[in-house]
Amino acid sequence: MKNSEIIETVCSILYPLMLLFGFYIIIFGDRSPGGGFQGGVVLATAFLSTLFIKHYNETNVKILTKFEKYLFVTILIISSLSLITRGQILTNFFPLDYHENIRRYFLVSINLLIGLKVASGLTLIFSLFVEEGK
Amino acid sequence: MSEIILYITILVIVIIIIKEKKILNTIVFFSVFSLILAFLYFYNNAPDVALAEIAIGSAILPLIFIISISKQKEYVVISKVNDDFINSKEGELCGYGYAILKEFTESYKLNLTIIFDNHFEFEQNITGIFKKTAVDLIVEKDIENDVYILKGRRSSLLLNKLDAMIREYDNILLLKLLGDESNE
Repeated sequence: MKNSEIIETVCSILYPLMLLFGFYIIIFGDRSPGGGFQGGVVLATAFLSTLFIKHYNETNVKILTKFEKYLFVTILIISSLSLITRGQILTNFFPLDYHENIRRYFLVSINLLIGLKVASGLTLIFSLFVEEGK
Repeated sequence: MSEIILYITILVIVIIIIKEKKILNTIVFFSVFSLILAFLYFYNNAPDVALAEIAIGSAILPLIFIISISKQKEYVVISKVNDDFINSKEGELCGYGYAILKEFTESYKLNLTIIFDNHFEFEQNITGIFKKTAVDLIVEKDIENDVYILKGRRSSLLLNKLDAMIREYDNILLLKLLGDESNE
């Protein structure tokens, strides 16, 4: 499939802006509208726009699959850290009497991991869907 | 005031989506519909939902639709014969079998792609979405009985029309195989 020059230029100009917006939504997800899933979908559209310009290769898919699996395990580990610090599972690992600015880091890290997982998962589904049957 | 305008626009666009006949136009209007819906979510104090709606409804869903439509338009035939039935002379395809297949695919507005390959078989294993090839028909020749065999999947409904088209030819046989049904 051959792309037109207009699409290539516009996508390459928009790519860093889309990445910035996606990471903004993820990182400020606990303060403002947004969060891991929404930002992850924006990131996935950014990745997909470049995926259609460049030619697709199979190593990409294998790396993405591994990346997604590791991210899932990391999410579980980080949310289970509170078992050691507070004795409860699936909550913030900072004690409740800490300042809000410090407790915030738990939400930011979880949002970041979820966002990356959503982005890699959607990119993976799409690239498999496009390539299937060729 | 702007909210009322948005409500009216969304009604108009929904009516256009229902009435529109061309499928690509429908997809573009669907994308516009999602965008306006996201604005309405924002006005009704749900900015979180609006963000998800913009990203999914107006970017990813239309993309899925466009890709799947462009995939549906191809009809891949693998040919193991290269004689009077189907042959390629200097890059141009001809033969009476080719004429039949061409008429068959044009009646469904599909693009016919013929690949000459002598060692192709339908995959018997369950490979799911990871299968590499989506072949619709295989053309073979039974040398003993001098019969051309067309192999297709039983799950493909298009084959009924092809079956009716080749009924007048004695030397063409249509086989409907069970294979790959688990993928549908």
